[in-house]
Amino acid sequence: MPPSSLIPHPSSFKERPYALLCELTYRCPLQCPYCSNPVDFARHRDELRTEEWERVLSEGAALGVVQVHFSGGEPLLLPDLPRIVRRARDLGLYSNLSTGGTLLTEKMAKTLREAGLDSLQVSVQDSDAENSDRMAGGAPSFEKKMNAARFAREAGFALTINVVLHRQNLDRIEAIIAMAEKLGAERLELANTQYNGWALKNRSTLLPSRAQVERASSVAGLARERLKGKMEILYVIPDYFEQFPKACMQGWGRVFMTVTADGSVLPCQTAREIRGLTFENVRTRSLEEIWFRSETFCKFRGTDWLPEPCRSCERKEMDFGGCRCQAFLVTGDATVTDPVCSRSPQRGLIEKALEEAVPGGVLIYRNANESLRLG
Amino acid sequence: MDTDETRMNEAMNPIAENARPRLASKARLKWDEARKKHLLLFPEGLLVLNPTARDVVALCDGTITFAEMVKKLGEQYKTETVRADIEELLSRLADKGLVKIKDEG
Repeated sequence: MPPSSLIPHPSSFKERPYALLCELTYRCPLQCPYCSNPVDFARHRDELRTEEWERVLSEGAALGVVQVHFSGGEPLLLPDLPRIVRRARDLGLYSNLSTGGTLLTEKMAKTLREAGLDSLQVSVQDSDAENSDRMAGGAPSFEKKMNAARFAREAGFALTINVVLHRQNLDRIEAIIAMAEKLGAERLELANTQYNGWALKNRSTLLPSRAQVERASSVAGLARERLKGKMEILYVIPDYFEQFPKACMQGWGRVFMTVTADGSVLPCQTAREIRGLTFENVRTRSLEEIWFRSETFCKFRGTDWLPEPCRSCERKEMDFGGCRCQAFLVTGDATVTDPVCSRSPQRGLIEKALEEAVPGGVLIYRNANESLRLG
Repeated sequence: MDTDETRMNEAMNPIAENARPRLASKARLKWDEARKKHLLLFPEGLLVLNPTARDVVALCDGTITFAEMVKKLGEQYKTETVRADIEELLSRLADKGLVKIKDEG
C-alpha cells in the first residue's frame, strides 16, 4: 500500500481542472540555467510508459481537463510522442507542445500535425545566436531552433516563440520581438525568469536591474499595440519588481495540475521544491482522487488556510497569497505570504536579493551532474 | 492560462459588410461536457462563451459575410442591438488573433 495522504471525505470543493501539464521526460539536450524542472530531476528516473500516459489523458479528460500541454525536459525524446498526441486528440483535448526545437525535423512536424497537435511552442534563449547557444548550454542549438520554427509553420501550426528574459538578454528585447515576427510566430511569450529551482541557484547572475525591466516593459507594450491581431505578445512584469504577488497557477489546485515524468501529480510544476509535501502518483491513484482528495492539493486550496497579512487583505481573492514555492524557497516556510508582496514582513529578503544582483557571474547549468550535486 | 474576459474593452474598427470572418487555425470550439459550457480554446487559454457568442463563432467559417451573419442571428434572437453585439464580439476576438476578419492567413 502506498503511504496514504488522501483526506478521507471529499470536501465541498467542486471545481475541476481545465489544464493538465504532462512533463513527459526530465531528459533534455539543453541545459538552460533557469529550467523549471526540479533541481533534483536526475533522481527521478522511472519514467511513465506510453500506455500510462494514455491512461493519464483519459482520466484527465473524464475529470474535466480541456487543454493538455506536453513539455519536458524535451518531449521529442519520446519515440511515441505522436501516439500520445493522437490520444489527446481522440479525447477532444486541445493540445500544445513545448519543445527546445533541436530535435524537431520537418517530417516530425508534419507527423505531429497529422496526429492532431493544435499548437506548437519553440523556446529560443536569445535573438543573438552566440548568446542563445551560451544560455542553452551543450552543443550549438540556435540554428536548429530557427529551422524548427520554420518546420512548424510549414506544417500548418500556429507558432508560439517562448523567450525567458533575464539580465543578459533583456536589453535585446527589440531584436527578440523582431526575430519572432520574422519567424511568423502568432504568439510571443516574453517570460521573465521566475526565481524558483534552477533560476534561484543563478539568481544573482540572472536578476535584471529595475531600469532594464522598465525599459523592456515599455518596448513590449508598444510592440503589443503595433502587432495587435497579428502576433500576440505576452509580457508580465517580474514579480520581484511588483508591489503585489501574482495569482500563481490562478490559485493552488484550482484550474491546473501537472503530471511529472515519473508520474507524480503536482499542483504546479515546481511544487516538488517544497520540502515536506507528499505527492500522489498516477501509478497508484486516479487523477480524480488526487484532485479532490490529495492532502497536498487541498492544503493551499482557496483562502481558508491563509495566514496574516493575507487573511485580512482585500486582495486575497485576487492572488490567493501568491506563490507557495517562492514562499518556501525564499523564507523556508511554504505557509507564509509570498515574500514579493509589499505587505509581507519578509519583503526585505527580496530587496536584499535585488541589491545583490551583479552583472557577470558564473552560471550553474541544468544537467544531471549538477542535479545530483545540488539536489 | 488566460481565462480573463474583462480586459477586452478596447477601441474597435467597424467591420465591412462583405467581410467573411474565419476562426483562426489555432482556435477550437468545444462543448465542455463536464461543466455544460461552450468553450473557445486557444494556446494557453480559453474563453467561456454564452450561447449567443457560441452561435456567432460557429458562423465564422470564412464563407458567410458579416451582413449575412447579422441577418441570420437577427432573425434568431430578435434584439435591437444584435449588430453591435456581433461587431463587438468579433472585434474583440480579432484583437486576440482568434478570428481573422481580413484575409490574412
